[in-house]
Amino acid sequence: MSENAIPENDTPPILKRWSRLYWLVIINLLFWLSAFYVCRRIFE
Amino acid sequence: MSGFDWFLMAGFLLFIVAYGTWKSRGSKNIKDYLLANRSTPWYTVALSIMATQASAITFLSTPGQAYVDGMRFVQFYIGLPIAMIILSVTAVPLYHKLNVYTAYEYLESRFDLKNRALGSLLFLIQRGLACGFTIFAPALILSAILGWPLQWTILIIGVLVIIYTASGGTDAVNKTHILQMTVIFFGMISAFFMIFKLLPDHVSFIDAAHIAGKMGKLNTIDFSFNLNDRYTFWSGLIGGTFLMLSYFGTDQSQVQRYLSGKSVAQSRMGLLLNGIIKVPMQFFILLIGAMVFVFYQFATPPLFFNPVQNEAMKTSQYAADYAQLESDYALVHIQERQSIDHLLMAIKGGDDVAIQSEKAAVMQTQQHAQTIRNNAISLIKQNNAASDGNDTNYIFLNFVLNFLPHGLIGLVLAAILSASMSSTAAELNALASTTVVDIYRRMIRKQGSDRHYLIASKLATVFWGGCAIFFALFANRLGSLIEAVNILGSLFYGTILGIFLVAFYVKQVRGHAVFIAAIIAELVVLALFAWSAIPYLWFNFIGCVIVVFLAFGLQKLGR
Repeated sequence: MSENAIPENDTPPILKRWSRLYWLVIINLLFWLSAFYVCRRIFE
Repeated sequence: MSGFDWFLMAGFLLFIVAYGTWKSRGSKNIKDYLLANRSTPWYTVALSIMATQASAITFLSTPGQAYVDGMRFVQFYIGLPIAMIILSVTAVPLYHKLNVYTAYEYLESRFDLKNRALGSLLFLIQRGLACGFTIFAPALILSAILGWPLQWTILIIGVLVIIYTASGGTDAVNKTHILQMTVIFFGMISAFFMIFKLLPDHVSFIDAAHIAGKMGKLNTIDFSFNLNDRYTFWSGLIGGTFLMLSYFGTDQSQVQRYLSGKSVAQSRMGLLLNGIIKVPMQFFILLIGAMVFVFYQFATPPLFFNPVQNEAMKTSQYAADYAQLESDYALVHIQERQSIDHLLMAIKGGDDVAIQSEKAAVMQTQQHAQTIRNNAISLIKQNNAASDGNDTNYIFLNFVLNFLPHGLIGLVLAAILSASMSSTAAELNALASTTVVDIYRRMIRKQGSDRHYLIASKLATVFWGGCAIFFALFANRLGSLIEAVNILGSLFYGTILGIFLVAFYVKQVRGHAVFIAAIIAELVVLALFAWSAIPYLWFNFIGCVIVVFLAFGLQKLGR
């Protein structure tokens, strides 16, 4: 199969730009880390 | 277990086998069989990636780990989302562009055959052994708690997986993963809500979180930099990123999941969705363990959670001493429960001084209870030196069987067995691909027909399934099973990742230099494992760094 046979641009409609999805993954991680920290501070 | 539980559990397992075999019937060539004809949508890729990583050990051992050690194990997964982004940018487009069946094929196009062979062999050794653990771990726990014969449990799980994996290949594995993950999510969420239903009426979710927190079970994040501490933010961020890069980027059992994606974009979406869901999912599983701990503050837990050891003690020469310890433990537990009630009142009153004083009282009784448990473990060891003093893996299932309603027990057991089957199936599928594509087709029989390799792939699946069952039948005590699997992975992943990182990013290094560097790095990692106390997550980092720098140095010297 040649490179052209693999469509690069059939991005699922949820997010059209990859960079946005990468940022979403990072923000999601930071959100959970902050939540862990806050919960530990509150409940310990 | 009631007849209804048996019906739910056995019915679902048989349905999985029938569904996987039927939905993937008619694989006509090796591309269909090993890559599902590259037609998998992103959501199936994501669920399949998650189902491959989440073995039964995840659901049996992880809540027990939170019960004993708190939730700090969640830090192990901090590096995962970062690894997903790096792989989406680098490995996914490269593998798709080269149209490879396995990750190790890429090593030959970049370096030479010996590096491809080394990568494949490290994978086959590591994953071949780990596959045995994947079957053995849940079988051991299920047989101990439910009284099933261990050998038969291993054989039944193993044979069921072999049937649909060998018959349908990657397509069967991916399609059954969707159903299995659905049951896993449903089973775990139901168990979680039942725990709260079982707590005393005066204990709310926030109260339960306060109790877990005050007793050190919500230790989800720890920023201290301590090389001797296995799970900290830093070990998770650095060691965890390297481990996850290696696992998802170079382990064929994962690479095969996203290689079957319809396109680069669909494979990327699958990986990134995993990066979003995995951390909260592990947090949730650990939270179940922390909440089971809270539950047992209001209901007396058994002195030792492994029922086989408990029964053995009752008929041993130490029976009277053990019974005395059980009665002492129950008494201390009554005191502990009173202290917890006082602590709860102090928390509700918002009096900080009272909270600290009641917390100290709770910790004191907790320590007393732990001393009694330690004495019981010593007694178990005296009775039988070969017995396992670690009951972490039995805690969650013990709770499920004794406190959850009928129907839900069957559902949770179906979820646990599904998890075992889902990861085993992906592993067998990957082992067969590597054996046929990287070893058999490349080195032994280069000119076979497509049909010949299709049959060889099916036979390789059955062969590795047989090996996994064999290892599982002869596996022995392993402490916390989830740690045993991760330790085994960490011994090899660093070296494999180092080879791939050099391949991706250090263009001037050639095959010979990276091959020698990889052999030396693997020997160093094995020596450190044998003779040092370095926590295992760091082996991923150390092995990888040695390969990268040594390969670069050797290449410079060789010029």
